[in-house]
Amino acid sequence: MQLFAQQLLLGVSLGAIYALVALSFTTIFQGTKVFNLAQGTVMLLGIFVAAQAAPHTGFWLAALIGLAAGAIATVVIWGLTLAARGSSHLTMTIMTMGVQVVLVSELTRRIGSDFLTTKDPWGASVWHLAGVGIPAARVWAIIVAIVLVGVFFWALRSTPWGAAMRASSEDPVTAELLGISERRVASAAWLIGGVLAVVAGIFLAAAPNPGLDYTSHLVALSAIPAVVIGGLDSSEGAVVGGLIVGVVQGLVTGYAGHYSFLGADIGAVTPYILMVVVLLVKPHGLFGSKEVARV
Amino acid sequence: MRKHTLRAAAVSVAVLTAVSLAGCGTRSSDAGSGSSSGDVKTDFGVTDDTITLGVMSDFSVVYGPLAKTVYAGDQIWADEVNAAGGICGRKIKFDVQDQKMDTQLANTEYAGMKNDVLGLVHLLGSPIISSLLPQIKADHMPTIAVGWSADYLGTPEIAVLGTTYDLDEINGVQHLVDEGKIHKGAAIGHIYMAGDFGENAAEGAKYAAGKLGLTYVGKKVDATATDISAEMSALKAAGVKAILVSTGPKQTAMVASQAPSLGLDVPILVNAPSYDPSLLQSPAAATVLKNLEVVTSMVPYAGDSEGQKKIQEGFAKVAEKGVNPTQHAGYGYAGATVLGEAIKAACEDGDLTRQSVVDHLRELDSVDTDGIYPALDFSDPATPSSTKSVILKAAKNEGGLKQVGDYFASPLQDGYKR
Amino acid sequence: MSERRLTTHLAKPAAAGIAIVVLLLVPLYFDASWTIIGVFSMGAAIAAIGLTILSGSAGQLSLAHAAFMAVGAYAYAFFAGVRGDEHYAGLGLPPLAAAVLAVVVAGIAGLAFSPVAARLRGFYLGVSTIGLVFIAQWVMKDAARLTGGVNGRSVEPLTVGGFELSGSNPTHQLTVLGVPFGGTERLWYVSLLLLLAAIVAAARILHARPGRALKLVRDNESAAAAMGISVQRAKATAFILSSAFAGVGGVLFALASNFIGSGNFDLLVSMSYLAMVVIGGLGSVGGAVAGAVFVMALPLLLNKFSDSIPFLAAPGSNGYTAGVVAQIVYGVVVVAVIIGRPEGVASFFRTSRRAPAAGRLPTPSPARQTL
Repeated sequence: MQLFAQQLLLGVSLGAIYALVALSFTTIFQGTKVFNLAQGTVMLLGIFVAAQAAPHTGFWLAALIGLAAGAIATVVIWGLTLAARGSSHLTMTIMTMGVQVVLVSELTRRIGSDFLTTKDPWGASVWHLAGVGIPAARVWAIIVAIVLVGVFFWALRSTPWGAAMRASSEDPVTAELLGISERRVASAAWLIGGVLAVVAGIFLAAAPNPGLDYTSHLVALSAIPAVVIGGLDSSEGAVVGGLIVGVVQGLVTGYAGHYSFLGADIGAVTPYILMVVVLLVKPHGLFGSKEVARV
Repeated sequence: MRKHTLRAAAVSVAVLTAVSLAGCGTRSSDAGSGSSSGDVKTDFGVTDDTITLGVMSDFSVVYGPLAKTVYAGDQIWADEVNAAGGICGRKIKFDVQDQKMDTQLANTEYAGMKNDVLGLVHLLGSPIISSLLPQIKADHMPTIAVGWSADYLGTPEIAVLGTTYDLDEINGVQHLVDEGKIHKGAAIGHIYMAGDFGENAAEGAKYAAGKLGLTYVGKKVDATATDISAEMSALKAAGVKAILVSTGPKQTAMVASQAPSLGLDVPILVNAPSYDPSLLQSPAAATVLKNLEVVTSMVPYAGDSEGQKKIQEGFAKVAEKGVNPTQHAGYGYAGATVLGEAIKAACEDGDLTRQSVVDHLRELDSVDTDGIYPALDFSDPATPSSTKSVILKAAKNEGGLKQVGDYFASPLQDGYKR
Repeated sequence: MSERRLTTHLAKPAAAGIAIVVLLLVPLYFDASWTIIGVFSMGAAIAAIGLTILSGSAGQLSLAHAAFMAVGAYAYAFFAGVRGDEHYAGLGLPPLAAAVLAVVVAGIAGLAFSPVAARLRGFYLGVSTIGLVFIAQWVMKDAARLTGGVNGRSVEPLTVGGFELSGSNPTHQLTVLGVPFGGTERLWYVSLLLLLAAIVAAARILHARPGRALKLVRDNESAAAAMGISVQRAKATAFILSSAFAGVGGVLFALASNFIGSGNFDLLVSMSYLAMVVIGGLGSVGGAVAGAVFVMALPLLLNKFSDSIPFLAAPGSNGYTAGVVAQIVYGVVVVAVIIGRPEGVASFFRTSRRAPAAGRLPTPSPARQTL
């Protein structure tokens, strides 16, 4: 029972981080119908910059610098997709893969064997909830995720930007006829996408992990099932999908020892199996809208 | 379509005939086989004044940082040998290739270098070694494998330096019991990497745990695992009193940083490739310094034996800026020394062909590597060249490790069979 | 027929003929360190042709191409593997039969995935194929008897009637014009033959009825259905063809490297295949071949010449080594081609009068998006 509680709690906290990454994918997708395959690398870049700054500036300023770096990176990638105007959104998506290759090569070269840490204030401290230990950083990950998701949904519903975003996501032609600036919506979407990814990265670099290394951009791949399960263009779906993937992955890995015939990696592969199953039942994910499928 | 094909065929035949008639010289005679250079018989990689040795390693991906320091060790050896006039009156030269743990790249590089090198002084990576194995055998390529997997044993051409992972683990578990850190009946956890390194270590650890009355709780993780908190909580739930780690340094760091949050203040015993001095810069540093030990057959970088001093002095000269010293420089130095001894013996025999170097390598039954390793015995390709281990403790020095205690071998090894 | 048209008519087969002759002669003048690059490139080209049929003509984005290559490669290793080997499962079939069966199995794997593919469109298909790569990786790592697990498994050489066509140390010697032909030289000719066959087959498929049906399904499903084309069947056909081509590429890869492991077929490999067909121009067979040769041979060639290229850092250093530069160039080329030449390099060679019918993923009009 204690193992169950422990795994559930860890799963939820990991799910909160996945939810942030997933939200960063869906926001960009809603804004411009591009699936940014370089999202994981944007996260790594942000943390790399923050880790360079942290020894001089301390955590909070370094985190801000990292967030800015992530935002700049996504906006630059957006600019590249704009340069490829006339290509289909799928082709632009393939282009982000090219960006990813370039960024990863350079970051790998620079990072070497280092662990990137942001000198976060939580350190190795642990909170005990009902006899179960959980790193303070993970508790804050859950809290920050809740706050950010709350703010995000509030903005989506109650600000002019949110209205514009929803309008151009659902019906770009009418949105443009109504005078909604596609560029402003798009740039904001990419910017927010970059920031959310780096926020997730800050928590991934904190305890219980030793920091990010040059392979950490692959974490974004773990968030892809979350995005798809929830539905590519659904913010609610991203949050729900993230939690599902985090909890399922945590529980399956925790109990994998009982089902050793399934092999060592069953925890890592379960989200993908779940994703294919969900797609067979609901081809647009749990909350996705049908229109996207036509692209 | 058919017309095109016919026309293409006609043109092909015409051009082919023309080329054949012109009788251009093909590469009909490759260099190599059966020549002699000066006073000794040679085949590949040896000229009148140089001996070329291949270095094929992963300098950029998983083992990049480790490989760079191993290569530094190779260079230190070459500088030393060349300063003393070389081997057989010939200077040592390296042909360096970065295979990035990609078997495709490695095959291409091997094809490119195989006619130019006498042997491989540094070949790293299980998939790479497995992929090249048929060619290494066919070419009788004397090879120093970097790594301690027992899977590499059994091929006369391939030498593994020191104690294999399974024997290291047997010695390591014995050490934990002897030191009173765990007692009979306790549970011992093992986080190990999928693949021959981790699985070979697991064989030894499981065997030793069984013999010493311990409950063995093994958790296999993937080399690219980014989160092992679930595995760690499973160890916690099993109430382990010590954790063995046979993974890359990244997962070691995860183990060390998660153990305190789970209340696991227990010894962490790792293999040599699982440790990197950068762990002491990570948030896990405190736990690493307090609980982590390395079990291996190789002395640490820091120390004042003759071999260690040589490597320390040489390292600053050969290593590039930004490459920090690690224990593995010793592997490069010792590995090159072993191959060098075999080449020397072959030279004295007047036969510097690959086959001759392999034969002489297998005649070496007590190589002295300036104290980097205990005396190494290569006479039987199927058994490790050493069975002894030494315990190193994490320390804030160059290389991040210090030696505690002497070489030892567990008596349990006698009953162990793979 | 005017004189000009006559020359252009002759130019193509003549160029093809000369290219074939040159390729036939390569092993006589270049040693195995060159021919192995060619063998890998030709294997990749065959697999890339498969992907261009699927993604270019049928409009189905797939990131699972490496998974289908893996099916071919492991199936060959299993069928041709030694029976009763202590480490790996094997059936001990004659290697040629094993190779043919492996390609069939790869095709069947494509067929098995096509019901999933038929339900999904566009992005959902693309990302669900990422799932397929991870599921395949899991099988490769954990079905150890079959695949050798994380360590991978060795591959038996291809033989025809006991005569080796690949492998590191053939027992039957073969010398042509004074040049000893080892496994790599022999495999060069096998690959060349298969590549030519693949190009001809793909061209026939794409320019004949099945190809036109695929394109129609890509561009307008309802119209295709109205014309009596079974959309399901067309899509399944595309997946079978594409994965069978991938299977051939996988078998060739296995033969060339004597060994296969899960790392040879991961997501990055899948992505590189997508990059090949995008660089070449989606839907273009020649473009797929050009893209494959570029992506596959660039790092290998840069690596080969790293000593003589001044700006490259030595291997083992922290600088811009051949490996890093090859990665960066490859990424930049993908971005640059999409920005500058969305139809790929193939569009350079296309005359204006044959407007690019194939060439891009479907771009529906905004109005249709909202339907």
